[in-house]
Amino acid sequence: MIELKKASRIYTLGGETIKALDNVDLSINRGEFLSIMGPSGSGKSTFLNLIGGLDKPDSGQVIVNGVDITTLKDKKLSQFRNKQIGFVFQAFHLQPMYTALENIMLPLEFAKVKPKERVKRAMAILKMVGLEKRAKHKPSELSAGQRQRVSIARALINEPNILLADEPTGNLDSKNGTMIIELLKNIIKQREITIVMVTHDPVMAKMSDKIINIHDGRIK
Amino acid sequence: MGFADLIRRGLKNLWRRKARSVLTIIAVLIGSTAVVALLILAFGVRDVFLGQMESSGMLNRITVRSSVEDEDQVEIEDEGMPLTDEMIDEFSRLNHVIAVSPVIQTHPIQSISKNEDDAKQYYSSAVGIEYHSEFQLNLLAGRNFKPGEEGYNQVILGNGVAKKIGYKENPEAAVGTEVLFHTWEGYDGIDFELPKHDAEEEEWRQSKFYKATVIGVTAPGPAEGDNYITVDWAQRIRTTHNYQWPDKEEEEQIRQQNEVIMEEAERTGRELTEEDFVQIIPEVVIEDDIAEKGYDAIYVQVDDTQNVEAVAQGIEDGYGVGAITAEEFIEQILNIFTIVSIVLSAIGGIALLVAAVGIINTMVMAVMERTREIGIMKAVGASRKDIRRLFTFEAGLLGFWGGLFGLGAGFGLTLIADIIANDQLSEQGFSAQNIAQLPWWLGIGVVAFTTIIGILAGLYPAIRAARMNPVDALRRE
Repeated sequence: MIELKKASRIYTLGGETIKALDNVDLSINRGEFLSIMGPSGSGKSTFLNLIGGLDKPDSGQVIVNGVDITTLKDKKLSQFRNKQIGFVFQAFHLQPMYTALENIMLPLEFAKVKPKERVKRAMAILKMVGLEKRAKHKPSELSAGQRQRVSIARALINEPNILLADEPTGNLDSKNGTMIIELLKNIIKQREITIVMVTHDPVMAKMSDKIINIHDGRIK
Repeated sequence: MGFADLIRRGLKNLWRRKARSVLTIIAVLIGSTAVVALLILAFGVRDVFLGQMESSGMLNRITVRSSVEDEDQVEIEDEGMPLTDEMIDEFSRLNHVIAVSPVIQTHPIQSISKNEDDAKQYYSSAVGIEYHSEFQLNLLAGRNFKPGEEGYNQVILGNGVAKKIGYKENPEAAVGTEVLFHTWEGYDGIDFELPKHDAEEEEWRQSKFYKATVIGVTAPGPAEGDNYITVDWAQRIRTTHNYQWPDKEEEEQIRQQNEVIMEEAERTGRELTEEDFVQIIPEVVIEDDIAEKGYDAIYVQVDDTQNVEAVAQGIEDGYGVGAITAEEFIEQILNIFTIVSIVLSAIGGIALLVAAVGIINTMVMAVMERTREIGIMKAVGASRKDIRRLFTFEAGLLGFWGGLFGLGAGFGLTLIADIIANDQLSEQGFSAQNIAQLPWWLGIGVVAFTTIIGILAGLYPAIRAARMNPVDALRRE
């Protein structure tokens, strides 16, 4: 259960005030696959960052699984991101120096999982996204679609109950994009997980359970 | 993030920017090399010095003088109790005292020359002491005097003296040869005939000499300018011949006698020659300086350095004499070494300070370059503390490697310095000394110090990294 109560986020950019989110009230049910649509700069990403605890609202509350995460201190908040949230980014954000396997294991380092256990779990997740043979490859040796699957594997490694995907298909062709969305739908079937996906591709959005439109920081 | 992860990631991150890491480490290396090399040399020289002092027995020695000095070595009383054989007897019965020896300086001796043919004389004197089995000189060649040996006309040459008169390379060659001790002009000791009382000034100004056979040469050290003879011979040298002229009363009597002779001659009309008068003739007096005034000093050898002060205090309080120990002197020298060490490490410290600025620079660059990586780590659950630890750890690693390699390089330098120094020392007749000693605490201390410098230098960039807003960080290309 994710709830936003009168959440506002205001930036000042070059002396100009931008309301990225303006008094947003919203609740997302557990196990939902929700798409958020809207033009660039409409506040979609800000919305994700607030839910994921990467950003804090200037006013209002963000309640995830009964906890108002805006009140959490850095230690608790980072644990929250580590254990309950999985992020998938448009630009994949993998660490180029490390192999697919090592990239996937990164969240486990902060979860203080033992090294042997890390490899076991990471290999299992790699198998799930169909990349077990690419475990030792670095991101530069993988295709865009494969990279995004690695990043999804990284997001899932700590078995979070919320997956936040910011334009996950934005850097992919339609074939690979569809494959990623299918993968996400499969995951939601297999696990008890809520997926919130930001996209401006209506084709991808249609594959989710529900679509919300954001315009100028407000839900339409 | 566990410590193993920290090490793995830290090392990998440093390896990732090899050139920059190596250059930063070199800066630390230079500083720590300087600190290590300079400190080791300072300690080494100090140890060599202390070793010399110890082997010469000076650390356990109390020098008793009749004059009493206060703490600042200013004489309070210049004429105290004379130092007598009874005193020596009593000192030798004191607790912790293992040997006592009178000391007689031979002021009459002014210079030394190799032999009669060699006109070159060097300013040098000799010290007479008693040689007990516990009280032996540290020799490089030859032998010590045996306990109780009278040893007239025998000498143990000081190392420095042997070098001067031509036994620089081969002190052994001096043993068995004869040297000459020259007296100051007009001196007349026990072995010398006194010139006639009415002799020409020329004859009075003759300097005489004692012949002495060299039986040993001392080891180099702080007292290498002293020659050693037996106390018996020294006392003999100090025993002088003097004329004692009649005093006024006697002179008056002689004058009156002569007047009587003159009056009588006048009466008898006899021609007088010089022989007819009563002459004023001085008496020859033999003066034993030591028997009259006591010894110049007494050496008291104590069993352990720790007991030296107590014994010295006991002697001062009990006999009203001055008791000087090497402690104050040593303390002063050690203080100088400490100051030198501090100054030298400060010089290295400045280099380390510059290196610390280098580390800050490197880490600030690293944080800027890895902004996105920081964003990723935060997104997947890294806390501020995790990020801060990672960057301070990397900075600490730079310091650690710099310190470790600097330790090696510094020690290597002192090994080279050791070889050169020993070459020089052995050339001058010193025994080989190991200057390059690396105390364990210095090794650990230097590496720990540079590591801490690294960590401190890394703090500012690491805090900046930790405070980074993850959303902004991820947006960075």
